[in-house]
Amino acid sequence: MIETVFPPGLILFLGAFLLPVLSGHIRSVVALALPLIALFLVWSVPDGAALTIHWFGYELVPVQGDALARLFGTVFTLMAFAGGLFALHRDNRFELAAAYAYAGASVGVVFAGDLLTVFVFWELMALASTFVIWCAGPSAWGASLRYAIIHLIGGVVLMAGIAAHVVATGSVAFTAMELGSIGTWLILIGFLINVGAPPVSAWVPDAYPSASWSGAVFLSAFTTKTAVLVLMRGFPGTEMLIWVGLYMIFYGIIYAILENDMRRILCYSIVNQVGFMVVGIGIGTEMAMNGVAAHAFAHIVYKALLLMSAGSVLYATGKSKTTELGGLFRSMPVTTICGIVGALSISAFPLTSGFVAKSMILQGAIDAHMALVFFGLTTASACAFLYVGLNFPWFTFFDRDSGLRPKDPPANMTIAMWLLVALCIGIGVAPGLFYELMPYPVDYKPYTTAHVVLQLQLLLFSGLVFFLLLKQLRHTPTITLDFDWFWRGLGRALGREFDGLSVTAWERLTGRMLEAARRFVAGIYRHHGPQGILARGWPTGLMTLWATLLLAAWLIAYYV
Amino acid sequence: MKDTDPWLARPSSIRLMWWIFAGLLIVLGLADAGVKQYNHFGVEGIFGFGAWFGFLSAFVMVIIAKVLAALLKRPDDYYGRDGNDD
Repeated sequence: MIETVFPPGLILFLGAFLLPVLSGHIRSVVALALPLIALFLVWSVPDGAALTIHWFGYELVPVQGDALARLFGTVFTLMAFAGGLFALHRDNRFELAAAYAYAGASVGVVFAGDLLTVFVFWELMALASTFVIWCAGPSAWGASLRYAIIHLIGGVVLMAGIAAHVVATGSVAFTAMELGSIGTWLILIGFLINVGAPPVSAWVPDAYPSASWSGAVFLSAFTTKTAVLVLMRGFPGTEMLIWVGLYMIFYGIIYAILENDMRRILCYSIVNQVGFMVVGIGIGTEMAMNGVAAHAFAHIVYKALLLMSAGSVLYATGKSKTTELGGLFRSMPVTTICGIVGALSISAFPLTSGFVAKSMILQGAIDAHMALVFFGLTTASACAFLYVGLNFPWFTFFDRDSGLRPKDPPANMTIAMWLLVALCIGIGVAPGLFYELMPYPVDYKPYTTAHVVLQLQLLLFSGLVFFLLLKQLRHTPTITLDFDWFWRGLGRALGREFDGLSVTAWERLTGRMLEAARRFVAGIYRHHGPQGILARGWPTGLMTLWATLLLAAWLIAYYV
Repeated sequence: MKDTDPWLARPSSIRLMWWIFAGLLIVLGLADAGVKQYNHFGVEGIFGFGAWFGFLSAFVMVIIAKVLAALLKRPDDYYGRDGNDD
């Protein structure tokens, strides 16, 4: 028996269209109520197919509940609530609407029971998130186009894969797939583009920091984590993902160390953290999958907190480059503390959410006897404190005093940050309830003396490296080239070269045509112009003579 | 430094924090004497694994980053102002 439910994502998606036409307190109330209603609906979806539609002979399942969907649905709607609170007074009436539509579409993917539903919401996410970036104004135009193009290409690849898969299997159901057919490969590639896998990882640090101080908070949460969820459902235990994930992990660390813009540092760390999740999906055991789910939840919360903290700095100073910031702890204590809690959580310090979540992925590697993976992940865990846990707050709030004395942001922004601080620490201190949300029963104790000591050793000694090498780590006003050079640098150079060549070709072609036209006109002029042979005045006598001659000739001919 | 500097920015407090940090590091580095560490792969059983492994991995990562920086760093207006590729 199938119960009919209201799709939880739809309320956010449709409600979003109300926001631009509302104003004042009514808008605030609606903006804060929508995610909470969606959260309620997330928890009202029963296990199994909750809504089915027959469509051209296929059985679509737009809403299908399970523990994983509830976990992701919960964190997505919570995130929409916290982000909505944070962005409440943003002076762009469309941004929050686009962000809610984006969040709604993500929840739609989370509950999708078939591949076509996944695809529809996938594309809606791409559209809505592009709108969120647009709302930052003209400076975001270039990045938003690059973002849109990559995601539309990803969507086309995904659609092609789904079509091939449906033809091969005759079913649209979204279940775990085996790599092998062209369809499953294309679906995997489509998913990997959104997860920020190589060689297109650069879209994350390119697009997200171009969004406004509030838009980036939403962007950080949904696209990559939705991709993590569909990878969990579609490709658990696919070994290739381990290597893709390890690449993402070290890519994120190295690029973040070299980055100057505080929000780009945080975006590189998204790629790094999502890399952990992709490795976990590649391992694919119950322990690892619990770790991935927990890490995704924890990551969304502390990454949003970090981007809120950075967003508050951007809001207050208008600056994002750490070479222009520094010493802000003097006048922005709340933003500093919230940023530090986010930084400690992402570094997985004991008593924070990162610690109780990420270590399950490592435990998964240990249980599966994957030594190389374990040491790779341990290296990355140690470096987390250096490349983001210190790298972001130190150069933004401490280090050299920039002389800037901005104030902490308005109350709605600080309340949103405190809310996420409470979640980060609450989950870290008492993980019991959190573990109950996981897709599989959790049999894991994060707080053993050995584990806590090991983690503190790793983190604090990597912190020591940070302070010993502080001079070398100071940021410079530079960017670091990435694969996106192929479309931003080489592509542009080729475009210009083509531009130059085509201009020359055009000039020669038009030159020749002009020359031909000129010659044609000159020819006419020569024959018909004032001096032309066909335009001369003919004397009357000559005509009389010719007429006489012709008549005489006719006379002679008549007689002959 | 002026006395009006906040406590965190005074040289005396920075010195104090370094001492506390150093003390913490020593305690943690030696903690393995009292705590039986895991030994799944043979290497983490070595004394002070977290300490030396954490230090080395962070150090090596910074070196790799610096080498890469020499090759790949560009001025931040490389792709045009605002990254708008103009």
